Amino acid sequence: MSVRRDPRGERDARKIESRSGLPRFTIAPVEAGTSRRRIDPRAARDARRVSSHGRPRFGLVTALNPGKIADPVSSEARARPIRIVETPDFLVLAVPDRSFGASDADTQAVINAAHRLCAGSNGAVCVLSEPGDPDYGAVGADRVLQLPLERTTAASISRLIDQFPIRHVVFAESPEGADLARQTAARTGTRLFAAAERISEGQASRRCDGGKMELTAELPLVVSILPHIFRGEAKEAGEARPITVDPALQGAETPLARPRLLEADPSALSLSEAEFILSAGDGVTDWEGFSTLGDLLGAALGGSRNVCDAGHLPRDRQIGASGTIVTAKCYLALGISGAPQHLQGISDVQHVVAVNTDLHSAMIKRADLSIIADAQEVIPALIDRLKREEGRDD
Amino acid sequence: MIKALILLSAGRHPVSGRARCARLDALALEMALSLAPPAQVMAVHAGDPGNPALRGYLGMGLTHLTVLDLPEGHDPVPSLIEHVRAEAPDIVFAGNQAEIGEGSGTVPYLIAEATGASVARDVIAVELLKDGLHVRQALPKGLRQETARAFPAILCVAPQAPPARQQSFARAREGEIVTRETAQTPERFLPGCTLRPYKPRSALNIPSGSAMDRLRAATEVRAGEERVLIDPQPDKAAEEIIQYLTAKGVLRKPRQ
Repeated sequence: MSVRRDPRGERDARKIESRSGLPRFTIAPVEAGTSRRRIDPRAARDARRVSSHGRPRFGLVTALNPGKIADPVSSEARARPIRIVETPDFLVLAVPDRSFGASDADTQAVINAAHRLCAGSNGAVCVLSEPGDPDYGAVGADRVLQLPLERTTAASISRLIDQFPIRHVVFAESPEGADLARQTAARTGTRLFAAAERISEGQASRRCDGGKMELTAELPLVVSILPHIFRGEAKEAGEARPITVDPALQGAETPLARPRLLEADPSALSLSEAEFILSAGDGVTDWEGFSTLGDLLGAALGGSRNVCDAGHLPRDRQIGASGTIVTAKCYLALGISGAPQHLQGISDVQHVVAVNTDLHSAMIKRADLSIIADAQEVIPALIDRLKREEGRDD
Repeated sequence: MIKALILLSAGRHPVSGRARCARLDALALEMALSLAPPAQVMAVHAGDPGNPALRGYLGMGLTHLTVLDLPEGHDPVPSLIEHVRAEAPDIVFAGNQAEIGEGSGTVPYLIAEATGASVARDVIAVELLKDGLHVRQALPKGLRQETARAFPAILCVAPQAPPARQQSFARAREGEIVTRETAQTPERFLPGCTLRPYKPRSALNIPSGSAMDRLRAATEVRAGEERVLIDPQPDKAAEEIIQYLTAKGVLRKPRQ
């Protein structure tokens, strides 16, 4: 940036003493060191010039407005920083969620909550791992405790609490996590803080009194959290340094027998619980065929707002912002173009299959597998094929 | 005849706020009363013997209800442990959690720890065997699981259990509430907590930030894998869909 001439400053620099009181100036050249620096807009514009030939073009970046400089390394290629806690003052033990159907996101939520408990102090998050578990460094574990047991029990956790400087133990409020958390609290003789919704600075809050009141308290030793509240990717990776456990100190009590899983009936399920949803929009007119297809696929039935408004499906089957927000694994959308409110309702679905006549609809953009066809023609073809497959199996 | 003890708590209607049976405890009582073969059912409540909510349980067919007389602000757990030790039941029934108060669902576990019983949560059905019981539990996503338990067992009943029977007004009047004196332990945890009305938060994850950010988050579409078939034959489309669903493990496997 060049300095533009500042006439007033130059004149002030040439001023000399006068006896008469009138201003006097020297004509000798003086250095304009004291003059105010002023921006030269022409020079600034020249600096922004992108190409000199043809029509002049100017970029947006200037010395005054440097803008965002594009990073030559893409954010994905850049490795996330690894947090290293060399000598922690205390440990926060995160117990991964091992309930049937629990996802990695639930375990991640437990670790995220454990990090909240370490925030602002020199603590380390330690994950209790079982043989065959994945690497916990990527999800933010500072330490990993490998138990020499096949299954974690409350007794083994309470022994770890005696051996290591563990300040808190965090569980997920899921079927198995809730059970283990209550057993651990009873075993250690401490109060359980169950189903924590918010954690900050050693305080946590949860719903109580039938959900009408919110209770806030200092965090005790054993905490269970609502996993869906603490979901989200780990900000930093951890080093996942293993901690050795003395097998002699871990008793070998036999845990209760593993339960036997029974099959579920999808039609009796509420939509928020369903794993696989067959959903209809205005592109569906044959409702008997639609319901037959739902039975054959073993899917729960749902629909868009339009369909429920028209009375083709009951109101509790409506999917979207004003209906049910679903968390299914797979969503098969027949004749749905995808209003924003409907797409909000399926934002947590893992796999989306869409059948629609409009190639440019929002649902087709969202879908993992899109079929540009009339849903009314695809429904009988699907029924036909599923029936044939079933017949072959019998 | 096996002995079943049921832990009853007072409930409150979520809208009117009137005292009533706790819903989960009523389900637990129903499960205890409909055990086959029938069991000797005893019931206990720790709290105010004059609570009108307790009459509802008597209306379901209980003849006696033992109430361990405890004023508000006292810990019911030591009294309940003492009572369970004295009665020595084979099965203890309770709801998953209380409807009023802290409602953390820990009381059955504290009793189990003191009496050496095992606990099963989310129970929806029980089947009595010779020396134990089969327990059916509810899991998320509509799944069910079955476990075998030995006596003594503590069962916490889930909301998905079969509905409770109707209450008879005459039985509710006839039933007897037996009040017992009990040791009084003051509650230590709850006085140190702060309570305020719960403010619901949206189920949608709306980010904070400018109006533009929020609008974008509400309307933005996460792009899928974008495999697009344009105007396929219906049969080809059906084949592709079934292949995709099978590959993702969604379709039930063909029967063997």
